[in-house]
Formats: sequence, C-alpha cells, structure tokens
Amino acid sequence: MKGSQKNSTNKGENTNKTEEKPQQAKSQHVTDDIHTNIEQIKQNIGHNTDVIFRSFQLGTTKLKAAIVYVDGLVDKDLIQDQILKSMIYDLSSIYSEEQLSDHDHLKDWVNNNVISVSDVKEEKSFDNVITSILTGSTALLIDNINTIFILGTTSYKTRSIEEPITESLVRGPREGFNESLADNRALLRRGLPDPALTMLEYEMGVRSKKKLLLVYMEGITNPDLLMIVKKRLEKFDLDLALESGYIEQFIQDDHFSLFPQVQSTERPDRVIAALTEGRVAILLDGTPFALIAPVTFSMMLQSPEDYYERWIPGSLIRLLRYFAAFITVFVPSIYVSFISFHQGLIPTKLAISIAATREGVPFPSLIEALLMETAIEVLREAGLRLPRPVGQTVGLVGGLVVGEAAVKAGIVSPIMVIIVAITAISSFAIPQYSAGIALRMLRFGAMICAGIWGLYGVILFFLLLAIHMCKLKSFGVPYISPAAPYRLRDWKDFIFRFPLLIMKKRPQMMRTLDDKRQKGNS
Amino acid sequence: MYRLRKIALAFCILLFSTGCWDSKDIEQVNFIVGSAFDKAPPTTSDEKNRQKKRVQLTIQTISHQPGSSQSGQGNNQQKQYQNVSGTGDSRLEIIRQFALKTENAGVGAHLKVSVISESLLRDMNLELLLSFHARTYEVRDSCIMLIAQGSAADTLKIAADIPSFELIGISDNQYKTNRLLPPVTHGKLQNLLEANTSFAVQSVRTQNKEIKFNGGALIKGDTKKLIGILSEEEVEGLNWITGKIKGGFVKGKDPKTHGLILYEISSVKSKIIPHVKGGHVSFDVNIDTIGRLNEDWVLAGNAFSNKFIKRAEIAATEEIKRQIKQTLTKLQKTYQIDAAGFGEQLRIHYPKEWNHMKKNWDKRFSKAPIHYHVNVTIRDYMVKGRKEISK
Repeated sequence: MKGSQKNSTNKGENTNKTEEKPQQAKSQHVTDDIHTNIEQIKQNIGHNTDVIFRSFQLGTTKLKAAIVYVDGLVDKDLIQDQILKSMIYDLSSIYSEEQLSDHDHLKDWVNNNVISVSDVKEEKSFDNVITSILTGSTALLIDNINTIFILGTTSYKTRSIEEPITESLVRGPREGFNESLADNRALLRRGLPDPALTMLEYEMGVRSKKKLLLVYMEGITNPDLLMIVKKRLEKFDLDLALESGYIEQFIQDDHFSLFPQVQSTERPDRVIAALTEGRVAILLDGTPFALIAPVTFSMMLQSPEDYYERWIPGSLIRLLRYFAAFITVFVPSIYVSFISFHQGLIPTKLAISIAATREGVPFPSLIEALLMETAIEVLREAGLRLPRPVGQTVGLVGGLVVGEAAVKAGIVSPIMVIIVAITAISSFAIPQYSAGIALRMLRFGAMICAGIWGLYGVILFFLLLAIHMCKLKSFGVPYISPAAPYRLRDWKDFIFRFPLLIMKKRPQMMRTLDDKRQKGNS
Repeated sequence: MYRLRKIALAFCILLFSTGCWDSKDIEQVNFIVGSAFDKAPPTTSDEKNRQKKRVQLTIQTISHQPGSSQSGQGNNQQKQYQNVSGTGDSRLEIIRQFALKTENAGVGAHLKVSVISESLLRDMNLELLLSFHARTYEVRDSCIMLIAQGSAADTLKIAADIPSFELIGISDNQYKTNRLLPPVTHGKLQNLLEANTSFAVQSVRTQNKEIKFNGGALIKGDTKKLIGILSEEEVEGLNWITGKIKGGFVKGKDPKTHGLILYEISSVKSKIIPHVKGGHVSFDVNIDTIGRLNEDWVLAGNAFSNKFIKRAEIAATEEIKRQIKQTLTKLQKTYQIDAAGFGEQLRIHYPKEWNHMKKNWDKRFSKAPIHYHVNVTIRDYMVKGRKEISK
C-alpha cells in the first residue's frame, strides 16, 4: 500500500495537472489520432522507466504505429518475431494501398492476417489499456484506428514446479503449486481433465489486481455452497491481496476462533480430491497456497497419504494423529493436575519417583510447565526463521543443552522435560501447520485451567472447547461433522479410513448434486 | 456485551468454588504406604489417659529425598521411609497428631497395607477400628489387610527398602506356595464385614527385622473379633477346601517305601456341594487337582511306570486329606467358625433354608458332617524320570 501511494506522489511531480488528468483518462476513449493516444498513455504511466514506447511505420507506408509494454513482464522474443517483424517486414509484401485507406478493413486485416499472437483483444477504454499494460500485455496502437489492440505477451520468470515443502509425503505426487496462477491452473486441469471442472475468475485487490480463481465441479458442488462462497468473495474490497491468507481472513466464518476454517494447501492432489468431494477451491495468483472450503476438524488431521497407503496402515496412522492431537492439547495439563491435585491417581512407584525428581524444584508445577512450554515455542519459532543448517543447530542446542542444563540446575524436573518434549513432537505430527498452531495455543489454556482447578478444570476446558467446536461452522458445514451432526455414512472417512472399495459415495455433509463416486450398484 | 458479562460471572463463580489453594505439589505431600494398629502401650504415669487411649497407630510414609529414585548411585544409607507413631482413641485423632510431627501432610491414596496386631483385634471390633478407612475415599479398595502376631509396628520396620512394598510383594506370592491365604483387600473386607461372614486373614510374624507369613487369623463374623490363629498347615487345608491355590506342592509319603514324594500343584478346582435333608445340613467337597511329580525320594520308583505314578497320586491324596481333616477339626471343633465359605454355598443353593439357619450358622456348621473327595492327577514328571535301579 505504501508503494502505491508513493507512486501517485511521483506522478504529481512529473505531470502538472495531476488532479484532473487521471479523471479525464477514465472518461476518455481511444481516439483516431495515434499521437493523442500515446500522449494519453504517457501521461498515466509514461514517467516510469520500465514502460517502453516503440514507434514504427507499417511496412513501407507512412502509416504510423506504436507498441507499448512493460519491460520484464513481456516475452521480448515474441514481440520481436511475431509483432514487430510481421508489422514492418511481412506487411509490405502483401498489403495494397487501397486496403490501407479503408480503416475498418485495415483493423480486421491486421487482426486476422498480420499479428501472429494467440491472445488478442480490442480495447477502447484507456483505463483497461493501462491495466493490461501493467499486467504484462503489449498495447498496439495504429494511426487512424480508434481501438487499441491488447496482445497477450505476458511472460515473467516463475519458479519451477517443485516438491511442496510444508506438506511432504513419503508416497504421493511430488508436485506442488508455484506462484504462477497459469501453472497452478494447468496442474489442476492436468489432474482433472473433466469438462465439469469450472474456474471462475475474479480480480482481487483494487491496487494489486491479482487474479483469483474460484474452482469447483459443475454438477457435483452444491449450488448453495457456491453461492455462499461467491457472495463472500464479492463482499469485500481489498487494496492488496498478497497471499491467499488475505482472502482466507475475509471469507472465514468466525474471526475469533482459534481453528482454521479454510484449509490452505500446496498440493494439487489435495485440491483435486477436495473438488471431487464437492468442495470449492480458491487459487490466487502469486502464491502457491490454494484454499479449500469448507473444511471440518477431521480434515486437519488427514493427510493425502492416508488414501495412498493401504487402508489398514492408513487408518492406524490417522488414529495415531488423533492421539497426537489429544496429547498436544491435554498431556501437559493432565500432568499439572496430577502433580498439583490428584497425586492419588498416579501409580505409587511412579508417584514416588516423580516426587523425588521434583524435590528442590522452586516453582509450582504450573509455572514450571508454562516456562518450559513457552521455551519450546520460542525454540520452534527461532528454528523456523533461521536458515536451515543454523535452524537445526538451534533446535539441538535448545532442546538438548538447555533442557539438560535446566534439569541439572534444578529449575525444572526431568519428567517435565519429557512431557514438554512429547507434546512438542506430537504437535508436529499434525499434518496441517495452521491446525498445529491452533492446538498448541489451546494447550496453554488447558494448562492454566489445570493449574487452577486440577482435573476439574481440564474437564471444564474440554467442555468449553467442545461447545465452541460444535457451534463453529465452515461455510455452512458443521466443523466437527460427521461426529455432530451424526452422519454414519461419513464415518467411513473420519477416524478410520475404510477401504476405498466401500466408500462408494461422496461425503454426505457436502450435499453434492451427484453423490456417486464409483460406478455400479452401491 | 451482556452475554460477555454473564460469562465473566460464571468464570468468577467457578474460580471461587474451588481453586488453586487446594493445590499441593507432589513433593509437598507424604504418601502413606502402610499403617499398623497396635494396642496402646500402658503409660504408668497417667492413669486416666491409659484408659482413654486404646490404639497406637504407626504410619509409614515415603521420604522423597533427591536421588532416592536413583538408588545404587553412591552409598546413601539413608532410609527411604519414615515411620511415625501416635496413640489415641480414633484414627482421625491420631492422624491429626502427625501434622504436628511431620513437615508435609499425609495422603492416604497410596496406602498399600494395614497391619493389625492380634492382641488388639482380640478385644476390638474390626469394623469399628477400620470405620475411618471405610468412609474415606482416600483409601483404595486394593489396600490389603494383614494380622500381626506380636507387634504390628514391627512389621513396618523389617529390613527392606520400603517394608510396606515388601509386604504386598510377599502377599502376592500365591502362585509359588499354597501356604498363603488369598489377600484380603480393603474392598473385599468391606463386603465380608457387611455380610457378617467369618473369614481368615493372612497373619505375619516379625523376628529380628525379618518377616514371615505364617498362617491365618480367624475373624468371627458376628463379633468381628479375632478368635484364633491357624497354623501354616491348616492354612493349606483351608486353601484346599476353598480351591484358592495357584501353586505350591504337597509332601506325600510313598505308601510302599515311605519315601518322600513331592507333588507340584498346577491347578486346583474345588466345589462345595451343600445338602439339606429334613433340617440337617451336610456338605460334599469335591477337589480335583492336576499337577506334576516334581521330586521323589523313592529309589525303587520308576517314573515311567504308571503304577508308580498311581502310587504317587495316592500319596498326595492322602496328604491333602490329612490337611483338610486337620483344618476342619480346627474350624468345627476348636473355634466353631465357618471361614471356608460353606455358608455362602448354602445360601446360593438353599436360600430359603439359609434364612432360617443364618442366625446361628457357626454353631450349626460345627455339627454339619463334611465329606471330602480328593482326586489327584499327575500329568507329567517334568523333563526327566528315573528308572528303577534294582533288577
């Protein structure tokens, strides 16, 4: 936002009549005269050094023409070979004077016979022309013609398709989205060459003018869901949409909930799977993260690998993740309440050894737990931001050396270090990063409840959490479905992942138009 | 906004309904693992107090010194437990005294064993003595009861890392010996006391800081007092009747050569069948046991011949019968007490008749004829036998 403001003040210095000119440009249409047209474009963006104006003459005639483009955003080879060359050289061999005098004919003729670029549009409004130039198109102006040709020459450097870093799998495709919307769209098309795959284009950000794609399966996705998403996408007016996280925060249901209500993913296979389940995906230009909506809590604990593996290991590993999620949230709080309130619930010999290790620890167990959990969060954050080799060192130094030293110094008990380590590792077993963060935050709430009320507090916290999650909805779909509302059909793909053979129908909660997944009688 | 205030109010109420002042970190409490009840020693100085104070309670708590968990490191001869004693009339009264003697409060949730001295229980009702145990939620049902011949407090001073753990460890050894009664846990004890049943409890004796589980103490159902002690052999007989044997051996005598034959018990099944005919009660006790020939001191014995195995079976049968007879004589004649569950079987099979008889059941039991049939099967002679040397 700051950058764009600066830009407008620059404009003010360069051109004298800053207040009126842009407004004039809006209302003004393209004229016959090439000089006024060029002048008009120059007034708007001409002071930028990356905007290139190239004037030339059509063939051997005296007819003037010009192209305007932004350096770096266009494919220069394309412009030279297919536009300039054909306009200057090839034109002269086939044109006739009569054809040139007829302006309307000239326009069609240039369009049909001269320019060998696939993407050609005709524009009459300067506003659109300037936007197109700034997003990488080339504007072709010809004297005596009152339209400007917009040639799709956009080409800029993009990252190649790489393995997604945040969601790596042992088994599964290694392709991930990149920053180019065209590439991402192609990945989806390649995975799902079905005419039902529909992509609606939106423009996000008044200034950033990012393309956004709303992707769904026509004939599968429930139209009501589609309407909700469309409505939410149209409702807000952003200045800048840098990342799909911006969009996520505008379209989510509950802004105060800790749980992510939209899933973000780098994996095309995940998006495709969601689409065929009747969900909707949102792709934004400039980010490898696609959004999937609606989501349920169970999706946060699922990995595409559950489906790629055979069903028994897939189910068990998924069960393990539910277990890990429980450990992440509740183990430190249960430990605190056992230590501070309910010593009778620990097996006698364990209780004796815990008491012995805690002898001499100066803090109450709650403070001790908060201290260590905060320390491990700091370590995690520090390791994340540093370059990879350094990050690993930080983790090692933090985990081993500081932990060991803290125990030796008698600040924390060794069992607390074990508890903290177990919770930290469990939290990393959750495949969705944002869900992992949510659960880690909840852990602190649970610990404080445990420190005040013991197990009673932990149960209260659990109830509170359950109430919140029951209330939460993501685009009309209850967050903890299919547990509540209870839908037995969807339990096939909930805690366990049943064999694909018997998952014959799409999830009931998505209310798809066509719910058959497999052919044959179900 | 109004809703928010409601939530805040609810939060505050919950906060003050219970709270962190209940919190006591694990190192600030003492785990009581064992307790011993004795007769209060007579105090010569104060006549009045002597009459009042009747019970001496000793509790054993774990002292958690840093490093006591890492035993073996260094030669810390520090004791891992502490015993504290106090006298008074009620258990609670004595427990409160301990707060004046020790730094940390005691927690009874880990109580493993209560030992009651024989002399105390001869005059005092067990149900009243343990009423505090029965009422509090702190004492778990798994806590076991033992009767000490001699001083109960001494059993908590035996030479072991933690004497209480040693006691429960030994009481679990039923799979190795048949001279041990099944442990009477706190939960089971409550049932027995409530049903006014007579029963036998494992008794122990301490000598020179060494413990020995030696027989059983008989508690009479109506008075809930101790009336007698069974010897180890009599305990064996009692176990045969109830069938609660998981292991052990029988020392029989070869009828032919009078050499020793040791029969190792693998499994025992016992069934008490009551008969009521015209108001007369009689019982059949069928005992089936399977085991192996473990040791024989019969030089002429051939373990490979079925004849010898049969002889060994007869030897074991005779010995078992002898033990049962001995026990039944003790129960029926000496103490007139049904501690083997005959009454329970009668209640199950003849509930109507039982209602008439239960009032003076112990007396009726002492006159009831009991027939017992023992069937010993020797299944194997382990990995090696010995052939006859003669011939």
